[in-house]
Amino acid sequence: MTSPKAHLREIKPALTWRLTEAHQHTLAISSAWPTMGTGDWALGDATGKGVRVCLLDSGVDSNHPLVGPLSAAFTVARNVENDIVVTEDSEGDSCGHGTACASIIRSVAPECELVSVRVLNGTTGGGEVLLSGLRWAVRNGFDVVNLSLSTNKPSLDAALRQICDEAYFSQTLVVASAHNLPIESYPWRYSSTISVGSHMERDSGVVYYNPTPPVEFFAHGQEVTVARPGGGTHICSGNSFATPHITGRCALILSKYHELTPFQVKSLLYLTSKNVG
Amino acid sequence: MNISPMTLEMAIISYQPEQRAMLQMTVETARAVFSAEASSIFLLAPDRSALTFEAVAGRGEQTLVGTRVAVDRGIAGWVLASGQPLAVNDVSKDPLFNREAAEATGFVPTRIIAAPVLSDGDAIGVMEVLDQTTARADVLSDLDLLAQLARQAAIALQLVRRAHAAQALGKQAGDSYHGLARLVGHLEALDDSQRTAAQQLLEIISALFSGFYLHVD
Repeated sequence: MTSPKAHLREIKPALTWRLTEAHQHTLAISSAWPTMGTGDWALGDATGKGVRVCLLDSGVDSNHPLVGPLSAAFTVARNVENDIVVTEDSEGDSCGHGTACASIIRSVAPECELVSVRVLNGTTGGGEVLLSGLRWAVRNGFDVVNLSLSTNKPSLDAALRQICDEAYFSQTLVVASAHNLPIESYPWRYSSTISVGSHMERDSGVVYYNPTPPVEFFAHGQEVTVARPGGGTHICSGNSFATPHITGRCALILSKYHELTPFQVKSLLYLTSKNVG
Repeated sequence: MNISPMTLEMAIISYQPEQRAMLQMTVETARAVFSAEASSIFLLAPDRSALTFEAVAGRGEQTLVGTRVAVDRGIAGWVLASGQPLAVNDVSKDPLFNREAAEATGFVPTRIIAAPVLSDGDAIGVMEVLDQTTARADVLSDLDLLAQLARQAAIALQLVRRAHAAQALGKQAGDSYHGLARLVGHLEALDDSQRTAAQQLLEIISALFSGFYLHVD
């Protein structure tokens, strides 16, 4: 006989998410669920114009033609007093990850206002820096924050959850990437975020709703052609690169209906998903 | 010096080759599964100053083990810092790639897939596969498979780390420590009846030492 505790363990959500061919059947949506308000109404002729998108990452090469001009660039780092401060940044991209994500956002929402906030330096970063960057972005009123990053520090769980809740109630969408490995990480598992994993299809416009969250949406994250610092492109794979596709789609929706709440935008993401609309 | 039972246990383990064999088998399995030119496992130094080749299969197998590489650069550095797996189709186009370090190993690959080796959520190393030749219908599944192998490597790397720590302690403790390690080794080699008698003897010695310490204190 299964003990209550064992039962709880069985239903604990998975730690990582990816949509493979073998799991396509898990996307079946009840025919009783609403499927109105899709397609052109939500996305038609949208460009992202007027929507402020913040990319928390490794910085961005703003001279790359696939990225286009940035509205601004900042860096979050510890100063000599060991305080974490946000300052203007002119160093570009420290490792390429941010430029890759920026080019995806730009490809989906070409006219959005893109701001880079560098929270990774070279190949190092820190959970506290990530938290400070996110808090800065939320309190500066961005419409969408792209977070193709996570931290596995449990000590930051409560503070990250708090700032994600604050974002949700102050009209800032936090679009967060699921970890690629089955380990506990934050903040993508919070219900106040829009959490994203990769599907295996090659179509960059395809989004799936996941009826069994915490990952709510799957987007193009396998072999994505992205910008690389200094010019040219290369191929990247992973949930990091699925996430900017959803960020871009959020910017498209908000450029048509700027007053929508995070709940409403999330609902439109659902309604425009391939397995729904 | 206070030597814990765990430290002593690990000192004994450090004299045995099993954990290295497990690491080597892991890279050989990865190399075979991906039909790759090479596979390697790096271990992060306790002070986080460098990554060290702990096991290599294929290119560099005879020369690279023990070699250190920068922890803050390159694809391995990124995987370590982010805790995320990474696939790079063409390293010549990737801004993360540390060509200088690759050239120093004597082999510059075209394609690398890499996964962190995680222990309690923290990256303690990196596992890489260089120039796989298997058909790649699905790169994310390749990364999943590599991550599974990295989980196996994590167990062996934890043992290697403990063994390194125990060896470092052993050097500090000097000959008396190695004498203890040899004693436990002899104990392990006895048959059951001899071991029971030897353990009783050790308990008496232990009690005597306890009394000695009490007197000193």
